[in-house]
Amino acid sequence: MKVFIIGPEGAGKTIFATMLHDYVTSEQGNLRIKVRAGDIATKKYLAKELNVLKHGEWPNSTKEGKQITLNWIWEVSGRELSFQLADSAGQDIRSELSGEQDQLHIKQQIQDADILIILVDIYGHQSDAHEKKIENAWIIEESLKIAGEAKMILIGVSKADLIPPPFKREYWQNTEAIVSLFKEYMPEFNFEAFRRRLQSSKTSIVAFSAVSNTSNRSENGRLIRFPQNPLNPIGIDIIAQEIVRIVKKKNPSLVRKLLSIVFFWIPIIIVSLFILIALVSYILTIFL
Amino acid sequence: MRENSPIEALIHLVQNTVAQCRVQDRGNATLIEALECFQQSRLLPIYERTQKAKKKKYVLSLVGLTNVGKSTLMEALLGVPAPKKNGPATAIPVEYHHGDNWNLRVFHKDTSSAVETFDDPKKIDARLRQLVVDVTPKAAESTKWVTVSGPVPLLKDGLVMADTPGFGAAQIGEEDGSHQKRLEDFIRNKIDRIYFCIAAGDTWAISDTEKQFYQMFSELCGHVVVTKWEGSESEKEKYRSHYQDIFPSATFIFTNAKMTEENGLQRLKDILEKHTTAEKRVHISEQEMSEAFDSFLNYMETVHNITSIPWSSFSLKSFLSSISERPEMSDISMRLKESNS
Repeated sequence: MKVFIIGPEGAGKTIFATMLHDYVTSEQGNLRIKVRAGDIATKKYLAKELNVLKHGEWPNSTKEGKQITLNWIWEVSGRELSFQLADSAGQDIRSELSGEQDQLHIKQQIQDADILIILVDIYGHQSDAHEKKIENAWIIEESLKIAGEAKMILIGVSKADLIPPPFKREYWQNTEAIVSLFKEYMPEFNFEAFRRRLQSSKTSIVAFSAVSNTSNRSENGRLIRFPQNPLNPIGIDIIAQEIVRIVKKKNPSLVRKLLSIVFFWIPIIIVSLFILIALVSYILTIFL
Repeated sequence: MRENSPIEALIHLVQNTVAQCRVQDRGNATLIEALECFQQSRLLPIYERTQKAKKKKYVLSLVGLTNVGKSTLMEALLGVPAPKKNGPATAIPVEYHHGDNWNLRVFHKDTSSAVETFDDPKKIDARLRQLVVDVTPKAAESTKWVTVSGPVPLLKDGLVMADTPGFGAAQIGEEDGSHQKRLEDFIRNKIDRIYFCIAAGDTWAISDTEKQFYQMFSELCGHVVVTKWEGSESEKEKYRSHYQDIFPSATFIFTNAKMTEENGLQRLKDILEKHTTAEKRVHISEQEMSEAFDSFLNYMETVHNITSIPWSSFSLKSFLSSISERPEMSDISMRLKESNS
């Protein structure tokens, strides 16, 4: 299983990965999965980022040219799955998707991924330059295009707690509400292709806040938001459950496989046998 | 979801509008400069004050040069004799709280503490003098903190009054400047609001030390208390116009030692009365915010002839929703909607 996270810089990819990990590790029983870090680098990296957040700071942004691949082992339905989650710097995603360079093979990674998670920061998008706004929209459009129709795609609107009313908490999982949010605040985004995609079961969209408990602090003459304990993620659970659902679908358990054989393949074979026999006997009656 | 307070929402509105103006090709330099100035010099100080206002333990202090009459004023406000530290004083903090009985609690450096109960508040003076004024350096070393509590009406909602040692005069047994430094740290860390005391005397002179000290803590300070005032009503006006430049946006209150300036003391009491609970204090800073914002819009209109500001629509919505349930701020939301282009 490969999961690839994509989104412009500042969309919150690293924080999302950190909080997703924290959520799944603490809720493994409820999710009916078991999760552990696949290597020491992953374990160290996630622990470090979480520690930074818990101490009231945002983690440093991922450096350009650097890609962090988190290796997890998820045990779903009694099967061990290696779960790779790649997190790269937003600048690289931007430049590779606009065709400037191709160092990290972002396009290839999108194609290879089993699940593509696209993060959109509608709040940050508002104060971006016009040119950058067009690029932000381009990143989403391009990655959707590269992914193709068949891929499982999860679109997450990050920092949803900063989106002003009337977009309330109860709309965070409401596709229509999020769609109108896109229309209002991201007019640069080509909507029609996206709409079609949302009707298929392969694409889902939710709003979330990886760290909803923040406090303001004035620093260098500006008021800046900082994380506060407890970090209180909202909506990460929905995304985690969605991933588990997709994983289960893609990797059915033995019982499920047996059931599908008994109830799906055996009836089909029987029916086709009958048809065959009927055909043969029909042909025979014609000739004899 | 966390609700932003109006002041936080307003600062984010200004910040995001500046960010939005910056990235636009037609970014208006005058507007950006004015917005940033408004944020720096008006909004952030109000924000700091709001943060302090929300604290449960809110500590006031009279701050001034040694011998300006802080102790006399304290006594008049609290009804408890405060020790006069004309001589060398130690920097042991003394706090006044509300309590049912007159108590004095001494905290020692080894974390132990001792309570003494008094039937007559007048006796506290002598004991305090022993503890913090006429104290041997060795004893002073072991005493960390002194609190006095008693039935003081002004403090009954949780207000705390701290007795801060005077500054300016050299302290015995201390290196030059070290007392000043400790006092500054103390004020910065422990005091939420300062009432800056200056003595009028005959000359009305204000020393450079006082000016410097005020400037250091001007954001904690909204009022200047002029002690030892002997002048007439018209002279007050003269004093105000003479010194307003040194204490910008501060309000002057005139008192004197014999408390013949009854009105001044009553005014000071009324002002302190407005700070007794967190709600009242937050309300005051929100009022300040409304006024500051109103005057900013007027300034833009009059000075720069800018009547419409390209507010960040996103943050504008957040701000409007943060004040939507406050009828006292309906004027602001009205003006904002008008000024939005």
